[in-house]
Amino acid sequence: MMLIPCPHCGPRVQEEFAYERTLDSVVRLDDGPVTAMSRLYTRANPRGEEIEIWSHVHGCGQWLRLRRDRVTHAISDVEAI
Amino acid sequence: MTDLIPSPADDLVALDLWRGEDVARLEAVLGFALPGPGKAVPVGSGYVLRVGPWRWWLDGDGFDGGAIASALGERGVITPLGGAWRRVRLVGDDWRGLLMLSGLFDAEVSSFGPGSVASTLLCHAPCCVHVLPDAVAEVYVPSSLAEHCFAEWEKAGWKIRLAAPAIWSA
Amino acid sequence: MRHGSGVRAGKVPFTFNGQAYWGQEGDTLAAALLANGVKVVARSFKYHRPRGIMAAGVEEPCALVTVGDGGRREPNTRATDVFLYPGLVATSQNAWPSLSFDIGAINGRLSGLIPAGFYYKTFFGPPSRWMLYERVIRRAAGLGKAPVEPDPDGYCHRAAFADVLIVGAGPAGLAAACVAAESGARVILLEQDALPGGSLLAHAVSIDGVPGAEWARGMVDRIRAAGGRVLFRTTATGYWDDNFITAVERLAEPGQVPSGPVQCLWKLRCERVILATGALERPLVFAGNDLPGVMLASAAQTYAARYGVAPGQRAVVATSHDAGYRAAFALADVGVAIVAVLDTRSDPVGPLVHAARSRFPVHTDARVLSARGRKGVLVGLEAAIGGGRQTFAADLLAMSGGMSPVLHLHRQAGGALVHDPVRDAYLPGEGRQNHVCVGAATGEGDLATILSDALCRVPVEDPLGAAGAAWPGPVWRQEARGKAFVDFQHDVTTADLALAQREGFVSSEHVKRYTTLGMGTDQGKTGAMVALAQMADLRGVALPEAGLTTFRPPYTPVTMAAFAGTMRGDHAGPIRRLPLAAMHEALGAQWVPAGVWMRPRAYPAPGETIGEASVREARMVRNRVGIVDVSSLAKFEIAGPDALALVLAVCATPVSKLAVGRGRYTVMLREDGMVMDDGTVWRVAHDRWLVTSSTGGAARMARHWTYVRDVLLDGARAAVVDVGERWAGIALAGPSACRVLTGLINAAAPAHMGLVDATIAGVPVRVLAASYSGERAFEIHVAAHRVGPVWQALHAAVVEAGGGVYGLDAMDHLRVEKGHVVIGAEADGRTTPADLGMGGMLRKAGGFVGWQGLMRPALSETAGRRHLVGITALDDEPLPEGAMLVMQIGEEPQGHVTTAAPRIAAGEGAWIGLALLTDGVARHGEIMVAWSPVRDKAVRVWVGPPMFHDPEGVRYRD
Repeated sequence: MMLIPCPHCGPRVQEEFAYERTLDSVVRLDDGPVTAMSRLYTRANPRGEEIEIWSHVHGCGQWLRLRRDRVTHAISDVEAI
Repeated sequence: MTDLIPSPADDLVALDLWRGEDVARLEAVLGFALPGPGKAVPVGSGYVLRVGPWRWWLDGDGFDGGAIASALGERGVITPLGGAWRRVRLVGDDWRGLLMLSGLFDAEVSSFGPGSVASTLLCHAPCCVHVLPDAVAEVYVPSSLAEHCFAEWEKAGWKIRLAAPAIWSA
Repeated sequence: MRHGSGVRAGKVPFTFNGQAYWGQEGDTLAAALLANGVKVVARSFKYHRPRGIMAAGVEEPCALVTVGDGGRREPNTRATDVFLYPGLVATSQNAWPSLSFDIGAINGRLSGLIPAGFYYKTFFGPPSRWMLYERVIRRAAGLGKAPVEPDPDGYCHRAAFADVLIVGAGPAGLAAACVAAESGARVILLEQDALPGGSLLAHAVSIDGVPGAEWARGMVDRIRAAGGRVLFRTTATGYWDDNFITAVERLAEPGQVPSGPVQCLWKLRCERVILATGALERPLVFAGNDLPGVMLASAAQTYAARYGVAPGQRAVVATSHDAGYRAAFALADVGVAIVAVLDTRSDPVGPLVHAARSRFPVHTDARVLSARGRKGVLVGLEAAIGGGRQTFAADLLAMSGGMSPVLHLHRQAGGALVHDPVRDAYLPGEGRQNHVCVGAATGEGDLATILSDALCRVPVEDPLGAAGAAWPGPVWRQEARGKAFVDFQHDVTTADLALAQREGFVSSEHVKRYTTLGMGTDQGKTGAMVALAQMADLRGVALPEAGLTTFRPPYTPVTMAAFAGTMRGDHAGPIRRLPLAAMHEALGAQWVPAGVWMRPRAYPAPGETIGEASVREARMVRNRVGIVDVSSLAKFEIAGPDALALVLAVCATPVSKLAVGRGRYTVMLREDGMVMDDGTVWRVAHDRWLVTSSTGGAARMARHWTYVRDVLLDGARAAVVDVGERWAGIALAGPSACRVLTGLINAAAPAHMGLVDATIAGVPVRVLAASYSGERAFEIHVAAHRVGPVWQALHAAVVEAGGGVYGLDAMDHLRVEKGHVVIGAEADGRTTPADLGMGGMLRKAGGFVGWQGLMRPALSETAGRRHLVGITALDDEPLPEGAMLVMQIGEEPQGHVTTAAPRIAAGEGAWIGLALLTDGVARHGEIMVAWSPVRDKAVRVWVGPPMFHDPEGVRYRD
């Protein structure tokens, strides 16, 4: 139900987007095996703001970095990836 | 509330540029405009629509694929999409209202006018809406979901004016 | 004819419990029933006590009826929230054999055995005894009966956007909406009633020189003239993130046959929200306060002023604040004798009180102790007045314990609540979203103030004078014996609250769940505050410390069909149709859902079962030739200078050495090393690749490609174009496939895993020599809008070669014999490539998504993992798909059957399958049992390699 400001399309409803994961859980191709699995499975999960990765899957397809408060859902920053 | 007129978008082509390419320079090389986000421009008998951060659709039979590919060189690629989408024209006063039925997108705001493009979900199907210069709208619907979308819109009182090409009967 | 601000002259026939009545246009069912002298309308939930009509709006807890019939039947409808239409049929609920003689009333006598929380006590003792209780309790529980026929009506969803959304078309809402609309903002105004005006409909004031109700109608006209949208019978049900509000619009009344959709679910997104939701009245607490004839004072006022109905002949008005007095005046206007006005305050002053004293017997320091009934309706009451007691004979008791602002939406929006000790009510505090509360919802009682706050400065005339702003606390404590109710719908009494405290359920959340207080369809709209005050009293704390429970949507009950909208039946999810769908239909296809697509399962000849057809079709392919529609497969074109790098990141097999015009099988992994999808990868040009993958995983794969490109490869110069629907696909397979193909393309067929561009029937095609079936095969891609003639040409050619068309089932039988895995069956998200026998296929150097996950010790240890094996039935019985693999029946499973199939190629045993078995690769030759206790089947199987046909791949060579 959130309104997410897509850098390309402007504010659009949450249903047009798909949540992918938190930024800190991205596994890079050149991460070592231990680092990779640690990033995949061990999360900070703060009760507050977190940087998340979403994609505007039913819109322009843009991937986004969102800074979102996980308690209030308030989005304070959006960046195109 | 009136008519839906489907037509095949057989000549549709996706033009992808790489992130950071000089769009203005490419426009000069290609000989047609590459509109900004959420916009479309008429080119010849067709249109160029901006559908993604670095993707345009070229819809019309006047675009020369080979010439465009050479002009692009290393700066982008084109990929034919004919057959993947069905184009349907909404003719009638309340086309904005139709887009609000089972819709998510603000098609009733005055700034969504001629020359506007929006990719969104309509009736749970990923679609692209293009407002033409004469203030009618065209919707690109995935070919596989055309039957579903038309059924939803017919239920809401719109009429399909030409029978959707009964695809390949025996 | 009755006269009132809300009724018109037309007569409307309706029936209640089989009896025919007349009402007037504009009546609610409740108003019409009262007008016809019907006082008992329902039986209560637990004790089956006779109940009447307590309120006049959606907060009604007692008068629940079933309206309509067949699939339109709506149980638990508040009689106060359904407007009459000709032919309305309503029946009471929860009473048998009849409303007046209800056997369930015995529960009232047994109330000592079934206090709050009795249900939890039934869990003590042996389970068998609980089953006995359950049988009785289940039959007795519940209110109305749900319909069993399908709902025949349609429901729709609409989105709308606004600068300002106003909830509530009372005076505050109308004023705010008009100001906003006339200032040029996009305005939406919602009102759950059928008429605008809110409190004005029962209040004899004039605004700007006209009666309040007329002023309200005029305001609606102005709002609409300024371009605003005004929706009636529309309830805002939920306040969600970012000023997203859901609202349900009734386009027809419950049970009424609609002329279009019956309800519309509005999805509203607004810059600013104004909540003008008003206030609801609280009951007083005394013994017998649930008797038919006892109602809220504002409700009595509404029935008199809006509907012109006298809800009784002799009335007592019991109030704790000024506004309650208005009921006495309104009732007197319709001919009700006011026996007494009882004010709980000791020294009330003000214009209203003064006017009342000159007309009615007013008693101060007066509290109702108990109400008395005969034959289930009120006949009198006893009150404590000053130091003494007095009884009154009355058939109507209008009670008011003060007003509670309606703040459900404010709370859902994350707004804070502030307790006001003067009004003894919660008022709205700070909001978290861009919203504001106005009017009576803020605790403001003075109409002129409400209007001027909204910048609507018009003269207001109240003939009775303004009510005092301060509302001293109502009387919460019960002082006489007998049942005094706090939750009228769930039959929760003050004694139940005390019991909960004694049993240690002290917090408001516990008390709610232990007593079921506030858990009915009315969500405690009338009783919640009263109960909280009682709980605070019992604990000896101030009211704010008693806590609150969470306010959750929906504000009033919403039918499930409204949420579904058009997504019902065949359209429960959008179905994707193949480009050749009509063709398959004409060929007699039996369809099956494959993910979101409908695909042909088989083409049975007349008299053939699907099973027989699929075996025939598969044999046809093995022995001669066949074609199958594979258009639904995912296909992606990856093009650009960095295309190879992207393909190498996503696909775990070697790819770089593929020459232009060559392809290979490939597999895509998840980060944890498990197989996510599989398919083929082809180099169609130096910097352009075509990658196919499973139908079911198409959406996932599309996101994965761009995720890897944009997030992992920082925006590589590689276009990812979803060409899944651009290319229709037809697979041509069989020993004669090569001959058929060359005949059509007039050129050499590509070698296995090669591709060529060609033409069939004048249409350009791309021929990919890949085989799923194990025979020499070709996947022919055609631009989807041109596939018709190509299919026809292929079909004619295969028929001439003694073959025909085959479907999904046959395709499945064929691939099982080659050990080809299916994503979702063998690759179920828990299998690595090595588990599936593909370990040797991966790139040793890594660099693909999933390479790190595969390095985990538990995965690199092959012992103990489940491996792909082939199984052959030793008994002549089909294998139950999904069955467990065990050594003996009853033992722990060591694996399961992932796919079962009839054997098509020549060989021992008619029934085969693929399975995952612990240490499977080391156990070829063992005999196990495929056991399905659910289907009561056990079949002995021989474990072997996952390959039943042409292990050398000889058939691929010409």
